[in-house]
Amino acid sequence: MSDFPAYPYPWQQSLWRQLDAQIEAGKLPHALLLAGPPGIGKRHLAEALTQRLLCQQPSSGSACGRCRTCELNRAGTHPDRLLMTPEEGSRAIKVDQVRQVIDQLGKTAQQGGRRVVLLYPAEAMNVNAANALLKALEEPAPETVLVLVSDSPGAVLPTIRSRCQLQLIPVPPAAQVLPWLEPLVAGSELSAQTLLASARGAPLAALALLAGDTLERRAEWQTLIAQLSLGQVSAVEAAAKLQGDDLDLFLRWWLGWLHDLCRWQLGLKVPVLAQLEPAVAERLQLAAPSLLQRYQEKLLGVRKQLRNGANPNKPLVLEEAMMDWTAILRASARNAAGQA
Amino acid sequence: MKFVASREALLKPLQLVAGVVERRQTLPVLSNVLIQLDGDQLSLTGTDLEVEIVGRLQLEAAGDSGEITVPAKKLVDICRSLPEGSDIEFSLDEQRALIRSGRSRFTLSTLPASDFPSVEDSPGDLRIECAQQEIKRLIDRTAFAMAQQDVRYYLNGMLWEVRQGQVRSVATDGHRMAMCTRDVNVDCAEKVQAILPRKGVLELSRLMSEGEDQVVIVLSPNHIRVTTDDYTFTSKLVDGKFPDYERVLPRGGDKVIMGPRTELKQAFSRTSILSNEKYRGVRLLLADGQLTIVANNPEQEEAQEEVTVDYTGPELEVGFNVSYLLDVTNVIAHENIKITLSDANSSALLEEPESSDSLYVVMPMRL
Repeated sequence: MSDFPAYPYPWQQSLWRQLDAQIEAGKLPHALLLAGPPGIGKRHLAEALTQRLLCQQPSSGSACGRCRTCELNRAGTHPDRLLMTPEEGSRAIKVDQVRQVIDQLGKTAQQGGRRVVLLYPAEAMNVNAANALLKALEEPAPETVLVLVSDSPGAVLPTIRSRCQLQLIPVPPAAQVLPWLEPLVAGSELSAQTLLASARGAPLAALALLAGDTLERRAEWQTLIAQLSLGQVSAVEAAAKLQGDDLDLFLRWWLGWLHDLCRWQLGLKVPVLAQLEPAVAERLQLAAPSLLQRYQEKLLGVRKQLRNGANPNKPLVLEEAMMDWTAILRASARNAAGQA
Repeated sequence: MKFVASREALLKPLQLVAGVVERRQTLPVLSNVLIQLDGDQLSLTGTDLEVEIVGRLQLEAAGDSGEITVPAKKLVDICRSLPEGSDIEFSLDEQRALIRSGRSRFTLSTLPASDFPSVEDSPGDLRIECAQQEIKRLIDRTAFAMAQQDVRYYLNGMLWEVRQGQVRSVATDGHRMAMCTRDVNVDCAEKVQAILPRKGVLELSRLMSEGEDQVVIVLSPNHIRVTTDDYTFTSKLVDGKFPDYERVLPRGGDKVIMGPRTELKQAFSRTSILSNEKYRGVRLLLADGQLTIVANNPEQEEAQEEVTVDYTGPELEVGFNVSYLLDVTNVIAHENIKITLSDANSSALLEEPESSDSLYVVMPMRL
């Protein structure tokens, strides 16, 4: 952990104050589900909350960073901070991990203070794990707090959801994020605003865009889609070019792009699409909203399967997605011609 | 940090401490042992987050004070494999621990002592001082009845109940119960209860000796801490409420049987061969002066044993799980056993005939 103790991000201040007041009043719910889109610092908030709850002498609403428990937290060896994340090489939180934690919860705190269970992503629990957790989630021992973090609370078992206090964390307004982001991205070619827009307003995702080649890949993907839309490459060729990319990453971008497309068709300004050649733009303008809607639903289904640990044949998924896309454009163009 | 200790002096506490350190650990620091030196007082700490043992050792000469953690298993192996009677020199060089003895030299990796999750001294509410054999008896007499991985997590341990001048241990798995009460020197106005987790109980029983050596036990809301001259043992407690065991003790049993322990034990273990492997049921047929033990299994095989006992009264037929009866006959030391029954649906009370400090309750089975 680079910064210790963890302080909430600027855009989390009001929520933090609310949580702090709850802690002070002894009214913090025993189970919290922090839910919101990825890349907005939920996990960081959960971490800060954990440190705050375990600290022996919290000062001005945050962990002090000096006491014995803070030292252990800094070293990552605090015995009463129980972390549940998918094990290495696995995408799911398994029932054995949950059982271990429940076993720990049956005994008194080693350091004599609170015990905090930190669990993310909550939707990664498989059915057995989630069911095993229910009892502990419903009536944990006193001085025990469970903090669950989820990108898609809808994918969490309803019985888990109903036992937690759901804390929805929306995408923060740009005005709160930009003062934080600007100094961090100073020196890069892109402005903080552009980055934030490409990350759909998620501050941490915007920062992550700078690292790695995500932005370049996105530009390449957009070029590829443009070529595909004009019929310059076939669907099979396009799918072959995407073969080397991470499927989940691509699908996420592709869904976001389609979403942008719908907004753009309605006349909203979308900077990414504004760069398209007129010929492409013309074709895209024709794409029928109803078909786009069905297409997006289908892709969402694929992503859900992926997240649930399915291991689909990647070339097949990509080829199908690309062929569907060309089919949509063809059908839309035919309709448009028929009406004219 | 630097000190010299003889191999034997160092090995004894080190092995004790390394016993609780588990080899497969999620946190690297937990496979380490914490070494703290204060003048000529050396202490070694090992933990698995549930139990912690601190071994203490007085050095012949004071060294440079300090604290550090090093891999426990490796340190034990090194010390053990050095020749007997050799002196071991331990020193710190930057981030490495240097161990020298004669012409051998080892460098071990270290982790800072502040990473080590040792239990802080908490203010103890209750202090018990007694001979180690008292504690050992409290545990050995009842530990067999503890539940194992029961969902009722408060049964996976042993209840210690402290009253003025008295400590009582109770263990149950829901089918049978064991209870032992000892008079010890303790000042406690109100009844205090604490549940020791199973692992802590077994570990503590291993540490306690049979002798008169004194031990100090401190109970706090979160921990039990047991201190002797050589080491301090700390265990977490089970965070739950133990069932009201007094209600389980059968009252008004009117059929009192007095029987020879060894004969009963052998009879039980022979009949158990042909009892149902899963349910282990045996039938006890009680008549004047005689107890008949009958076992059947699904293959229609039958075992029958007759034991002469001291009993006069009406006849009774009652079923029990033979494993539970065997456990009790194993742990009782007296030559006779007193069994008190009332009817086929009531629990049996087993105890030593006179001056018994232990009570055992076994629930009957419908056969």
